Amino acid sequence: MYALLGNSLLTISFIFTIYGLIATLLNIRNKDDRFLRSAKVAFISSSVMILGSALALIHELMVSNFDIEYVAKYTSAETPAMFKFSGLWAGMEGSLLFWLSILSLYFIFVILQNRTRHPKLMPWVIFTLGVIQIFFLVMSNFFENPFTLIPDGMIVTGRGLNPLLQHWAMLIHPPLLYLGFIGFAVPFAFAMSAIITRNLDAVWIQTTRRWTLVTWILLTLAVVLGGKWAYVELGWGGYWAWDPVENASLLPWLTGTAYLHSVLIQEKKNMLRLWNMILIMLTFTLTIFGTYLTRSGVVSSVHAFAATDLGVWFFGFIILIISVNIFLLILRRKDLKSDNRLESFVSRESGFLFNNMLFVAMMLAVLWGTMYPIFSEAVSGYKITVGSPYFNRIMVPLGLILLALTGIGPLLAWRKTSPRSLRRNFLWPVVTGLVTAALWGVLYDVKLIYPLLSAALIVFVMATISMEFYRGVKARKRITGENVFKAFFSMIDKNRSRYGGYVVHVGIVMMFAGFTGKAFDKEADLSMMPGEVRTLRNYEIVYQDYWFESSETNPGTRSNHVAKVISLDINKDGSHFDDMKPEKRFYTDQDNQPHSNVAVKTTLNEDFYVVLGDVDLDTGRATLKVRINSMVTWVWLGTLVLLLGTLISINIEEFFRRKTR
Amino acid sequence: MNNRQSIISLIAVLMITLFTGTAMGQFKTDRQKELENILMAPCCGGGTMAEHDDNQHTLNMKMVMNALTSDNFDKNEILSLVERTYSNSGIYRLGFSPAQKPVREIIKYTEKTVHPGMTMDEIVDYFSWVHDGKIRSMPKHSGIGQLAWKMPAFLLIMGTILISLVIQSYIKKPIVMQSVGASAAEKSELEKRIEKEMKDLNI
Repeated sequence: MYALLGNSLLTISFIFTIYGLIATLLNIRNKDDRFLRSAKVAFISSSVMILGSALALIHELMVSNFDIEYVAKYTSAETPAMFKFSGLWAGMEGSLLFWLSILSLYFIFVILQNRTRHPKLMPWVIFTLGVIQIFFLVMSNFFENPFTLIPDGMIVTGRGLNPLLQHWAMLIHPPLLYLGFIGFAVPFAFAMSAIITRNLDAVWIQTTRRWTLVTWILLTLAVVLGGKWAYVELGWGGYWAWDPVENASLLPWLTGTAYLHSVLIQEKKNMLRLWNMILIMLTFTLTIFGTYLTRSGVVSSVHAFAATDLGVWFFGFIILIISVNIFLLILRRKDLKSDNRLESFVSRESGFLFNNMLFVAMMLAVLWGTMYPIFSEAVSGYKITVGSPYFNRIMVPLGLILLALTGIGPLLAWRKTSPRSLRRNFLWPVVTGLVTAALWGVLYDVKLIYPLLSAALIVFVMATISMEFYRGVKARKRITGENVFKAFFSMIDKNRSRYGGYVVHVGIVMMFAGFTGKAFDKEADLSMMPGEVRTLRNYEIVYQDYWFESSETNPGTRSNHVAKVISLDINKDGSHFDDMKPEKRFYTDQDNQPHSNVAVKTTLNEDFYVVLGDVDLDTGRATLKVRINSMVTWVWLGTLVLLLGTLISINIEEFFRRKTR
Repeated sequence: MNNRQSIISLIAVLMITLFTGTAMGQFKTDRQKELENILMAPCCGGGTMAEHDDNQHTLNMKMVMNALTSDNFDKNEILSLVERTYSNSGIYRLGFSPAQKPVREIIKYTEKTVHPGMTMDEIVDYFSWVHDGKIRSMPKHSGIGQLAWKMPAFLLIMGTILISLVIQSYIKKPIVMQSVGASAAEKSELEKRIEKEMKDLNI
């Protein structure tokens, strides 16, 4: 019954969306507001129906209705309830419906939020979002319907969820990723409307600024959570492998970050209209491209969905978006010319432009590396692999230049920076950075050039940000007579965008410290017998015991798998450090698919990371991979600081105050 | 030392403390780590060897690699490891990069090729012969592979030139305008004033 309901809602929503598009076009043509009101009702109705359809699928997943092919493919009766829920985005059909559901949520929000605002922009905003919605509705209704039933008479039990996806991060990462990806559809829709209606001042930018920030932070959190999942679940000891699907999430993040910086110039100086338009168009196109990459089978990835015919449709949609974008950019090229001009090469405006160029260059480099195997096959008939070492070699220098710009940018003045001010602002941070890196290199015998450079830049950037805060507080104290703490907080409150941005930069710097630690990771492969003791650097590993667990011994926790477990006693510098129990699991509902459940002990400076290769249950001989990963925690902590900075910038309090008014 | 210098010094001390201890230890050598990163895992090609080690074939290959890079180079040990790794490689034919050559040929080639102090390129070329080019996790610096390496640098240089030109072109115009006397914003202010005065004078 729920399957029928879900399927019917999906079909009816398709009809409503078609109607909504026609009504919007009639409004645009005839300027009759009744059509627009009618279209809004149609779009809200279709969006509610899509959400209802998703709820129907969730219900069927939760009750394990294996009459539905999708439910049988991605869950089993033994799958824990929370992972039955995450089955919604585990497969192609469900993930498309999930995509649609989030778009629908956003669509409803945009219509309601702008009931009386932006009368000139809204018809085209609604039309653009409607076109995106109809594309995904076509995919869901006609190509990848999640409610397809298993043929009559066939009795099926569920296949169960991929063990790799049975992790808490997979409950959060995909929804955040989708929220981030699809969220860019809204600023894109406003941009399309602005360019079509020639309302190209900063209004559309100001309207979508908060939206873009929220979308950006959601995408950022999603990317980092994906890394966290890879770190603790894939068992190779790292958090980023430059896999094509990982890259797909990074591409729009890079252009989205560039856009967030460059819109400041349009807001403040009414410049870079064309550039901002290109950036948001590119960002949205890359979100669709990312969706295409994971669903077309053009690249092989452990994260991708099974290859289907959808690729052709997605490719067509991307071509359509690019063609329309280029056409509009050419058509409106005169309107997109900026009123104001730069005054100096050494100015904050120029700094922003270089920052933007770097982000775009990084995006192109990642895109190039991701698509190179396809390119090489097309040219030479031979697919050349491009793995993580390639990306590391290309991206590390670019990342370091970006880090340098993070420090340089805030030190440059708007319009023009005088040589005196340059000297005053740069001297101490540069000297401190260089001296710190040199000291570190000499005292700890570090000879690697990139880590040394990174350390110097990290200190440099931190110094510049601290100086900005110090100057601000000092000035405020002088003007208002407030004490340091009050001056500090009221200074942030008065200019949340600026100081929130600096806090974001602190987060980025902390993340770079974590990336730098990667250069010092240590790894050892061990083979141990019970009772054996091994020493690695200042760690002592005592292999204590091994055993086997199953649904019979542990019915509560091992319902869909069996596990070989070993117990290790870890001592550090002579004192007890941790008891670790890495596991090797075999998922019984997945053809006994093996999976290593890693054990990690996290500290601020390093993680002690153990993967159980296997243990012979007769002799107890265990093969282990032991890693000491440096400063990984700084990546996660940096992300939290980045979140804090974004929240300061968004200024939710003011947002609601304004709403109430 | 003023306050600003104190803050900066504090940051420096904190950063040194932060990085302390990260550069010590004796685990896999850098060469081993680099090799494991340059070669793809032969089981499925879904990542480099550094990322994959829970199947026997990858583990065996790592042992061959370790023996090739070891200070105590032992050709007989290497030959026996190679034989053990590739004699049953059919079991691991999972569609990516199984041993392309018969095991006899591999052993003969190994006997002829391996020697103490092999360079990184020589070891990678050795495995590339045994498997095929797909075992490399990144393009070669020759032929079409060069394009992969040079394109990002090309893009960066072109981007820098382009942005510099854009900034230059943006800068040139206001100089002309400044010589006339007012920026765009000032000009509009001036125009407003003139308009107001003209209105006041009923012109």
